[in-house]
Amino acid sequence: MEFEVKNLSFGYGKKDVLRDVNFNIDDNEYLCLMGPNGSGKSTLMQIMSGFLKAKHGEVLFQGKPLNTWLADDLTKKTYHQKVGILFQNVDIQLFNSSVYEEVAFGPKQMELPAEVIAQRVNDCLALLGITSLKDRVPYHLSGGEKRKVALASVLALNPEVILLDEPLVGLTEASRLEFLQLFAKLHQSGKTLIMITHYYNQIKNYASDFLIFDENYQVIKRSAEEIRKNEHLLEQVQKF
Amino acid sequence: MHIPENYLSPATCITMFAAMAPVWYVSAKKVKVQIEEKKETIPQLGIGASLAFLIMMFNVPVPGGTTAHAVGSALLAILLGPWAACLAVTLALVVQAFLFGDGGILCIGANAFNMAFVLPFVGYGVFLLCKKIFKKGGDKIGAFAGGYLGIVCAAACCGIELGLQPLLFHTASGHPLYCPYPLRIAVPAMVGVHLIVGLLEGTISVAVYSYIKKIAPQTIYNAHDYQAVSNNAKSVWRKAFYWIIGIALVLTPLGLLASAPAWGEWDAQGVKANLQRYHLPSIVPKAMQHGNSYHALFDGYAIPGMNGHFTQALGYILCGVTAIIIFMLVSKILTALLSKDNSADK
Amino acid sequence: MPDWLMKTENYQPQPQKKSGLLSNEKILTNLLNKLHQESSITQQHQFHPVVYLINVLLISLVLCCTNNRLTVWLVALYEALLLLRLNGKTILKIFKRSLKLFILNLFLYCPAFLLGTGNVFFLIKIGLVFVAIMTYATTTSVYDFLTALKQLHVPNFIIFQIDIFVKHLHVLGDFLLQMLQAIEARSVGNSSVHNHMIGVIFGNLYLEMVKYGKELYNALVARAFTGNYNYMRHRLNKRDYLLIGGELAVFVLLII
Repeated sequence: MEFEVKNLSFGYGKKDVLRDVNFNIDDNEYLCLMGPNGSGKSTLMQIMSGFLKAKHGEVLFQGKPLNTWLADDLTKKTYHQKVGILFQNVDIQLFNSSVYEEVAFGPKQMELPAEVIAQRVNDCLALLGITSLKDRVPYHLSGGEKRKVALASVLALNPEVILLDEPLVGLTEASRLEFLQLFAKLHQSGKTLIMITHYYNQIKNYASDFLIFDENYQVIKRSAEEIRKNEHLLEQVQKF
Repeated sequence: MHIPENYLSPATCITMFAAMAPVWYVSAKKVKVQIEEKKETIPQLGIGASLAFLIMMFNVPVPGGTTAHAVGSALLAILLGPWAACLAVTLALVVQAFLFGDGGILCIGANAFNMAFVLPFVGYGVFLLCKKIFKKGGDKIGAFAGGYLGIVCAAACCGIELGLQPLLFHTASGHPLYCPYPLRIAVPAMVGVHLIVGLLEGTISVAVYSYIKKIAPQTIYNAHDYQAVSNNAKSVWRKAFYWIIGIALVLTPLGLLASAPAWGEWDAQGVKANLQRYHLPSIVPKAMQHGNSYHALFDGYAIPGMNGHFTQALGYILCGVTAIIIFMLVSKILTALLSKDNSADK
Repeated sequence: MPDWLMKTENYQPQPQKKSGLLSNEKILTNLLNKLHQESSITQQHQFHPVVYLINVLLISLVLCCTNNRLTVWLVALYEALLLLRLNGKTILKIFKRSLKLFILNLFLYCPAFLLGTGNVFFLIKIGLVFVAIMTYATTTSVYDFLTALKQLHVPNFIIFQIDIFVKHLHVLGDFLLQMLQAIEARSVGNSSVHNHMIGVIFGNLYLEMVKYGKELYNALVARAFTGNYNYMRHRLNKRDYLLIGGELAVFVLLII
C-alpha cells in the first residue's frame, strides 16, 4: 500500500475544496485523477507532494503519516526521493543551465559516484530520446522537449511513485502518444503513477484505476474495468 | 537599508524629496522616450517594480548559515536601464512603505535617494566603466563591481543621512531627537556591514546578468537603442549632479555650525560612552563592532597635544569635504564617460 | 528500460544544515496570502481613501515634528480612537505587525542606550508611528490606495504602473514560489548547491517578467488601450467628515 487517505478535508479560508475523502493507492497502480476544474484534484496533488498540509484527516505514505515524513528535514528528503513530481508548469522546474546538469541534479544530490551519475543521466536521456539536447539551455527548448527534460530529471532520482500534474496538456497528438507509451513502460517496470488528466479516451487503455471528483465534494475510486462497464460513469468521465 | 520613520528629521525628509524630485522628473522623461521607441516596454516599469519588490524580500543564504537581503537595483539598472530602474524601485518602495510598513512614509525620499538613485546609477556607471576598461569579460566584472560599489555607496549615503541627525537636531541637553548615532558611528557601521552585503549584491548581479546574457541577450537594456536619450543625457547628468552637490554644500556648513555645541556635550558624555564601549558584551550587533573598529582607526588621526573636540571637529570637516570631493569626482568621471560614448557613436 | 530504474532505490540522506533558500517559501506564501486576503478586510474600512491617506501622512508628520509630550499623548489617544472602530481580530493583527517592526527597531536602537544617547521618548514616538502605518496598511486594500492616488491627481501613467505592479507581484510571486517548490522536490541531499542557482532563479523570473510584459502590452493593444485608466470614485460620507474634523484638530494642535 503506497498511499492511504483517511477522512481528508481541506479548505482555503471558508471555502472547502476537499471534504472527507477516503481512498487507498496500491503498489504499482496507475491512477488517474479526473474531474471538473476546481474540484480539488490539484489540491490533493499538492498535499501528496508535501507542499500543503492536510487540515483534517490524514494521509499515510507506506504506513507512516505524511506529517511525520515532512516534519523532519531528513525524512522530508527521503520522501521527495521516493515520490517524484512532474509539475504542470514546466518552466518552473528547470533551474539549471544545461539539460545535462538538469538531469544530473538529482543524482548529484544523492551523492552517487561520478560514473553512476553519468550512467543514470545518459540512460534517462536515452529513454526519453533527448540525448541530442544534452548541452542545450533548458529555457530555449520547446514545450514538449522541456517536459521530457523535466521527466528525465525526475526519473534520475529513481522514485517509487511519480505524481504527474496534467502531463499531456499542450502537447501534439504524436508526443502525447509518446508520453503515454513511456508512462506504460514505467508502470510495467514497477512504478506507481498518479496522474491528473482530462483525456479519458487516450488514457483508458493504460490506466488501471480512476479517482473521480465531482462538484459536490464526492470522490470515488473505480477500476478501469468498472468504468468501462458502467455507462453512467463512462459518460461522466468522458465529459471532463 | 530601509530607513524607518522618525529616524530622519522632517527637514531632512523634505531635503531628500527635493533632491529626488529632479531625478524622478528626468527619469520619467527618459522612460517616456524609451517607451515611445519601444512600445512593448510600457508595462515594464510596473513589472520591474514587482521584480524589485520580490528581490528585496527574498532571503538569500550566505556562507555561515544566515541569510541576507539584496536590493537588486544595480541589476535592474543593467537589465532595464538606470532610468526605468530608478522609477521601478521607487514604486516598490512606495508600496512597501504604505501597504507593508517597510521603511518610513516620510522617509520615502531618502530611501529612494539611496536605493533608487545612488545604487542603480552608481551601479550602472561602474558597469559601463568596467565594460570600457576591460576588453574581455568587462561586462561581468562590471555587473559584480556595479552591484558591490552601488550598494556600498548607497550605504554610505544612508549613513551620512542618519549620522547628520544627531548633529543637526538635538535637545538643549544634547540628546538626539532622531537617529541617535553620529556620523562617526553611522557611516562606518552602514558601510562596514555593506562591504560584506555588497559581495552578495555583486554576486547576484553577475549571476543573473551572465544567465540572461547567455540565453536572452536581446532583453537587456542597450543605450544605443535609445540614441535620442543618450545624446541629451550628458546635460541631464550634469544638472542632476549639480543639484546634489548644491544640496551637499548647503547641508555641510549647517552640520558644521551645529557641530560645535554637539561635540561640547559629547565631551562630558564621551568618556562614559567610551568606557562603556570597551566593555561591551560579545553579542552586540554588528553596527557596534564596526563602530569600534572605526574608532580605533579614527584615533590614528589624533594629533598629540590637541584636545578631543578639536580632533573630532577636524574629522567632521574631513568627512564633509571628502563627501563633496567624491561627488565631484564621480560626476566628472560619469560626464567623461558619457561624452566618450557620444564621440564614439559619432 | 535501464536496470537501476527497475529496482527500489535504497537511499538515506545525510544530515545537512537547513537550506536558507527554501525559507523563502514561507515568506512568499505569506505575501501571496496577504495579497489575496486584502480585499476581505477592506469591508470594515469605510473611510474615504484620500482622507485616510492624508490622515496617516499627518500623524507621521506630527509625530516626527513634535517634542511635546502632551501632543504625543493626544496623538496616541486619537490613534486609539481610530483603532476602536475595528474589530478585535484586526486590532490584534495590527498590534502584532507593529510589535514585530518595533522589536526589529529596538535592536537597531539599543546600542544608543549603551552610548548614552538613547531616548525613550523617541521609542514611544516610533511605536506610535508604526501603529499608525500598520493600521493603514492592514485596513487599506491596494485598490483603495490606487483610488486615493488617482483622486490626488497623481498622473495616470504612475497609477497604471502601480496597478500592473501589484497584479504582477501576485503572478511573479506565485512563479517564484512554485520554482522553490520544484527545487525542494528534487533537493534530496546536499542543500549547499542552492547558492549557485540564484542566478537562474532570478534570471528566469526576469525572463518571465519580460514575457508577461509583452503579453500584457499585446492584450492592451487588443483591447484598444487609450491610455486612460478609470478607477471608482468615492463620495465623502459622515464618517469622513468626522475624520476630517479630527485631522483639523490635530493640525491646529500642531500649530499651537
